Amino acid sequence: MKGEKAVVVENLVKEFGKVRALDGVSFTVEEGEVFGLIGPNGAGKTTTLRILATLLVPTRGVVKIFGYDVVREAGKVRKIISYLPEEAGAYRNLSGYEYLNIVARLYFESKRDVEEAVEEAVKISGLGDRVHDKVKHYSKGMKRRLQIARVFMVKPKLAILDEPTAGLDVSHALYVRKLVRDYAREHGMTVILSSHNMLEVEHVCYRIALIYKGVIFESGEPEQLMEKYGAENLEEVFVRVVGYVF
Amino acid sequence: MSFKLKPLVEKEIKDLLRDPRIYIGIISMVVILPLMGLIFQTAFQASRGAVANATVIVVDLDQTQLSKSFINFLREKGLNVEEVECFKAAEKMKASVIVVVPSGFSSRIEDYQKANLTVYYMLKSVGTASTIAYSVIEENIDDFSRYLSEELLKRIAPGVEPQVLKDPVNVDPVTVVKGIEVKAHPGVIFSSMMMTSMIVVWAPLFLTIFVAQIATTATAVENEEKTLETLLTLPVSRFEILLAKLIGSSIIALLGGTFYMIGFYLYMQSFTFALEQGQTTFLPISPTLESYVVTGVLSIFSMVFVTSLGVLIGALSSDVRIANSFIGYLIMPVMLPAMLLMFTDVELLPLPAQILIYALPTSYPLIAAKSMLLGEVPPVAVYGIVYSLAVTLLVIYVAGKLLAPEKLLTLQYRFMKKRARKSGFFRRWLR
Repeated sequence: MKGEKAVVVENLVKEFGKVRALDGVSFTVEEGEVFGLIGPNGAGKTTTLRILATLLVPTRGVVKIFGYDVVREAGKVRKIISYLPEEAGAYRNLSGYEYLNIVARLYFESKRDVEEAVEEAVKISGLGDRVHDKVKHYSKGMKRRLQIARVFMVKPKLAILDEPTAGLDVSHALYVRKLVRDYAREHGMTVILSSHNMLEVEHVCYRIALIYKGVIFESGEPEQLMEKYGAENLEEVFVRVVGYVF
Repeated sequence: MSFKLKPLVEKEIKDLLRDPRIYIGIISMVVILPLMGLIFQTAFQASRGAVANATVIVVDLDQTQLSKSFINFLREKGLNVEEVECFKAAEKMKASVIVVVPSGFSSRIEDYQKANLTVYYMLKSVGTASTIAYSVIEENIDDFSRYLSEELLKRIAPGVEPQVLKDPVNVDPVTVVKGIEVKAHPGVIFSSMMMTSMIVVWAPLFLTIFVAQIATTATAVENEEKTLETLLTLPVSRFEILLAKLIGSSIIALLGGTFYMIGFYLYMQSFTFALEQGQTTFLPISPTLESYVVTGVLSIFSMVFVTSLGVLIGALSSDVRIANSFIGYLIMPVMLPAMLLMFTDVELLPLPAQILIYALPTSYPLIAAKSMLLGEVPPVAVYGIVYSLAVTLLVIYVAGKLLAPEKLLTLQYRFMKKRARKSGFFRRWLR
């Protein structure tokens, strides 16, 4: 490990032509921490996560993951992260098992490591025998569980999850939240996730940042923020900090 | 092969081979082409049957020994011949052909004058069967005319072979290729080589088009199914992703090419029964090892070139439908030079067409394949290797560089904006 912090984002700016999606975003994430970026649609959550996942290049600013620069050392970053896009698809003509096996083989060289990872993923996904069906026959929720299993099976140093419970029913959403906390605690995995469901984040994240229009307005532990703003939940905190968003 | 390339290639092959859009296309080649051949064969045999059952009505107004010999001649040739006394009676009968032998037919022949036969072709359909039936009857009448000619010549010049009088000059065609003499007309050699040349020229062309389509589909599917975003965050280099797509698409294209060739071979087999005997003069020259190697190398470069372009088009398209419409624009410049090369030589074409052909790496395998049949390696094909390699590497480099979401998203956004502007313009224009 080159740096002390898991994630360091300093004065991050991202422009798409004339549109400024991120305007001086800064935050840090400690190793083993579950950090949440919360905000409404179009706030800049996905853009931030895409930059962390080496998919987009910042216009300005510095982004480091375990000391590696996401632009200059993108290859090294990809070895220690696992990214779950909001709309992640799997290859529809492969079975869930085949998909997991192929991804595991990209991370691990030894056959045993691959087998262990896939075995764990099958357990995480909860797909049972359906894991051998082709992905095209999966429901939206099953596909999401497969993707979550894909992210966790490789035990990345940093898991980047964009709206991880999107498309999941209540019980599976609860299961995923538990999974995130358990993996962070048991495997020392750092997790950064985004959500527009502020109540969900409240129960999962150790620390959060409120993002709106590409700017971070507030950050800290959920309880501290609720106390600071005299709010009963994070939704109330958000409204008091940003106001009503239409 | 790096340990990461194998699973990527495996993914490409499995995902593509199980895609109905791909496997139906591959399988249909071994089904549709022989089926087409079978249909043709059946139609041809039906035509032959129609000829066998065809009835010729002869209205013999001459009623001489010669007119009777004419009727017998047709019968001996296997035709159903019926004789009637007048044309009206003939019309009432279901005949394909009515031949009227006029009065005085025999006497004109005896006087060494041209005699007329009027042939009525009773058109009932515009199918091939009728055409074949008519041509068979026509040939038999011509045979009778030739027979008469020989008989008359025997009478005029007894002891002289009639054939010598009719055709006193004999031509012995000798075709010389690379110093080797073949006792046959070049046309006969070309027709016997037709099958080989079609396969040799069509194979690289077909593979090129097919591989482009597969690579485009394979990449566009990644966008459509939202898998590209994940793929680009996995611990693999852009080059490995591109290489896996090139290898995967090429393997599927080769498989498709094999199926196509099997289908094409079976299709051509159905025509062989129709070929005349004696057209089996083969050129005593076989392709050299060098010509095989050069054609093979150029074919590989050509395939890699179009696959890279296909990956680029696929990556820039948000779905398969858009990608397939874009690939149409790519196939056109590949097809046009190929069609030109199939019918003529590059040197005979106008300069702009020559420039277009030499500018495309896809033309060189065709140029090499044509020369391969004559056991030659044209110098231009050797230069083509260097040129194709350079262009192909450039395209791979560009494709590798563009296979980054930052650039793809920007380019896709620009395309979408252009499309939206165009559709907006058309909407306004239509109002």
